[in-house]
Amino acid sequence: MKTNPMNKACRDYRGAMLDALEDRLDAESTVSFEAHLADCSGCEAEYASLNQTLRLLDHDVRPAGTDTSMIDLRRRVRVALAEDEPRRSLPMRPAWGLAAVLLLIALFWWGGPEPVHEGEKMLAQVEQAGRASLDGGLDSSPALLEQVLAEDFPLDDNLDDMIDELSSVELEALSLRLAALTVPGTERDPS
Amino acid sequence: MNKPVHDEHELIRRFLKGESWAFDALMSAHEQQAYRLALGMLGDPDTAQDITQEAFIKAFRSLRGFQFRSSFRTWLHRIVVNLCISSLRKQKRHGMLRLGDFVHGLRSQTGQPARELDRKELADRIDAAVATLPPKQRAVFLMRHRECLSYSEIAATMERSEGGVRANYFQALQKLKKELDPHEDEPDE
Repeated sequence: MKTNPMNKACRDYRGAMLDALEDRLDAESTVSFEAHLADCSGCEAEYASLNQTLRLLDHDVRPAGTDTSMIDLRRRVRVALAEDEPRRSLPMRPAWGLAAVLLLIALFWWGGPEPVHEGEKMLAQVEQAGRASLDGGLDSSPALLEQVLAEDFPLDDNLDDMIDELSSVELEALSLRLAALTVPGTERDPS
Repeated sequence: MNKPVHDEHELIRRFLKGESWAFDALMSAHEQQAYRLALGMLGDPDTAQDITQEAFIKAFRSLRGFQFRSSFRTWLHRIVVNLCISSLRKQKRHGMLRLGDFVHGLRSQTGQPARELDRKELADRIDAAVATLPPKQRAVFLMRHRECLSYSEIAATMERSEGGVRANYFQALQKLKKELDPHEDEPDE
């Protein structure tokens, strides 16, 4: 067996050495490669030592991540991605929505010495003339409201048309006031 | 080979539609391998966990731009490797890595053939040897040897030619041979 310095043939066979180490050479190339090893101690030694290194490295079994650590990893990724989702707009949040309605009602109620809208007059009339608890608001006692409105604000159209002229804030306030209205002598008998 | 990729692309589409089970499926399919790759690159379990987390977040966040030309694994591994290389550079800048000393220390402690070492010592020694590889070569070695990825997949991950990756892997094996062979320090001829 010759101990040649690396020549062109050796360099070519070094190219095939990786395939040989991984057992990926075809039959013809394997025969040719083995023939070269038999003739070249340098390549044979290199092949043998690399093979030994690979076998040694095969003993290196990596510990996998524990189930707990992987669950924690998944949780943290999920949380980070959830933070990317667009935040809901403030008016959509119930607490803010309620606060905004109350603020508007307060502004509407204390907004000025004189009613600036006919709806405000209507509200005052309803409060003064109420004779019953209108638990559900407008829908529960439309006849009473109609009667009150008719006294000071003669209606040519029906109640629905009248209500249509009220703003949503006014309707909200009207509904709240009607719901809270309890007049002595007209309370419902609990029995 | 194509079937899993097709299924994986379907999973990505489902994830983008907001189906949360697809998130779990993608995570469970890749989390262990991504973590092992990061651990092999960095050597520290906590840092590896952080890098894996960051890689998944980056991958999921940019899924809307996914072109469906590669596999999710290739894409994820590319992110993991890049993050690891970046982390290693930072550590190096801060003087936290003294791998040569570490390897030398291990050798002087043992001073005995590798076959006599128990598994833990052997694993430590291999880790130390792998840690001496340049980061990109280390990534190629880990993906090929530990994760058994094909050269074409590693080439896609590293954005290099397949031939370049093969040469890189062969060089890594030669370096590891020198690091692990107790007689390698002696003159060859």
